[in-house]
Amino acid sequence: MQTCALTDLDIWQRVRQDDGAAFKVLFDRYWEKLYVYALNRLPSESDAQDVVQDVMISLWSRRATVNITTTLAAYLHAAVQYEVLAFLSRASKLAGRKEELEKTVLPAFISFLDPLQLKEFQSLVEAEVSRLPEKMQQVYRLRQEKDLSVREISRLLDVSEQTVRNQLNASYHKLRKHLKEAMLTAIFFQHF
Amino acid sequence: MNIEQLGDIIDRYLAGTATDPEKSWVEQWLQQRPEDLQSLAPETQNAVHDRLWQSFAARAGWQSARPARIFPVSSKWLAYAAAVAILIACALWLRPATDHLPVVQTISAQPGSHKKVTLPDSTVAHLFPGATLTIPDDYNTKDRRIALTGRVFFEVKADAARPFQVTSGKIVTKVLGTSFEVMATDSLHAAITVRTGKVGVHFDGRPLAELTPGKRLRLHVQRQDFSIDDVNAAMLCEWWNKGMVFHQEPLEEVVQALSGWYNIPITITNEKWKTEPVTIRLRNLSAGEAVSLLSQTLGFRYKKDRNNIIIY
Repeated sequence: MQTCALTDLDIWQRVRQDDGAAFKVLFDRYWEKLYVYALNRLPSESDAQDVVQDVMISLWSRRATVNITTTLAAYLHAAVQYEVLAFLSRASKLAGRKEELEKTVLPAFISFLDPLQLKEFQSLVEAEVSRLPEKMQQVYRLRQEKDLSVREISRLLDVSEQTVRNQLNASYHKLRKHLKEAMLTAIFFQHF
Repeated sequence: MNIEQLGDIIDRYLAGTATDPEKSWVEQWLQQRPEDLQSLAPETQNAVHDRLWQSFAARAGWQSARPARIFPVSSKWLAYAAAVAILIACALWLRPATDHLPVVQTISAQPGSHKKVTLPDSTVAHLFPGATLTIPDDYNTKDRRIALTGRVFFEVKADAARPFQVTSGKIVTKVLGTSFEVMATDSLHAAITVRTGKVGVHFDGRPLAELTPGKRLRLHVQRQDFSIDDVNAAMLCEWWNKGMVFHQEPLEEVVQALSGWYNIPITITNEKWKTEPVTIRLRNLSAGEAVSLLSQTLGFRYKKDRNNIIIY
């Protein structure tokens, strides 16, 4: 099959008519771009391959209904972005993957946070934290700023672990009420 | 901050409910980077390409990477029995990062494990491994519409006021209260089996057939026709506890079901076996035992190659 002369539009028309050979041309044309994109964000070859698979399978199985309003390249770029996020959403919930993703994906993600925005967040959070009741504030700071575990805090303050948990939950609850969802992000980053 | 919190932010982003700072943060990470334009080293390039293509072909249900038959656009209407679930992805891809996406829930059974779910109207769905259901947020308000890919058995809660209908590509199955199974695993075959009650099957907007209990409708896209036969629906439709039952199915489709069930690629290299009809029940077996039993029944030979099983 002579393929080099085919435009994306031609290829897509043929794919829509269930032409497997045309899909192979599309695949060969774009797989590497998608793979490199995914690999730069999920530094694992097998994860990046899974993402490319998902993009391609989805495109092939939905060829009859997918309506490409932009270019094929733009569509695939948006698709790989979506699949990378969908992959992370799934993987972040898998016990077996968490530790490794915290070492690979998380730091990279954090490096993309605007430092100015982060500062602004943190000063807002600090203002709210300092308004918390004294005991609650102490527990909150030990957990968030000193990164102590619930057990360590309970020993340090000589209260039960359940008390520590209750205090923490109450503090998050109060902060959430005052800071709205937007600022929660900042709370997570306090010790960075 | 840990990865779970990041996962939550991503989930909100995908659902269109992320806050502005969260949204711009995710988008900064997604943004094109200079290193995205680099090519792979030639030796890795070939290896990765081949691996990707082979597993794509296996997952897409292509027996080999040979060109599929081309149907002219104006050919008979059956040329498009494509089974498609409109994933939320679709909406997201076409309009990335808009705030008011239609809320759609998708439920999938991973390859290698099946899933039983109860829908908001207490209809029960059994998802064969690899199947996906798409449920719009207005499900069970005026009517009960659902889309699927793969194989799903429904026990529909009777509710005459809210018709229940399942869409898979151009095939729409409508019911009032009944139990039936829809199987639309690829674009070339679809099957609808009725266990109780009565269902109407529509294709591309036209009524195709009304099915009563024990009837199975099979679409054959290649032959551009459909057929209705009598099956033991109770056996066929209860694969999650009675095992997988096949009734005069071509081996190609049986193997596809096994691949999904066990999450192991199984390929048939010898053309003549693909269409061989199989009637068998496979229950409580390992993948190897199932293939061995099939091989004794039909007489084909097979070999294990790393994680694949090849029938020849």
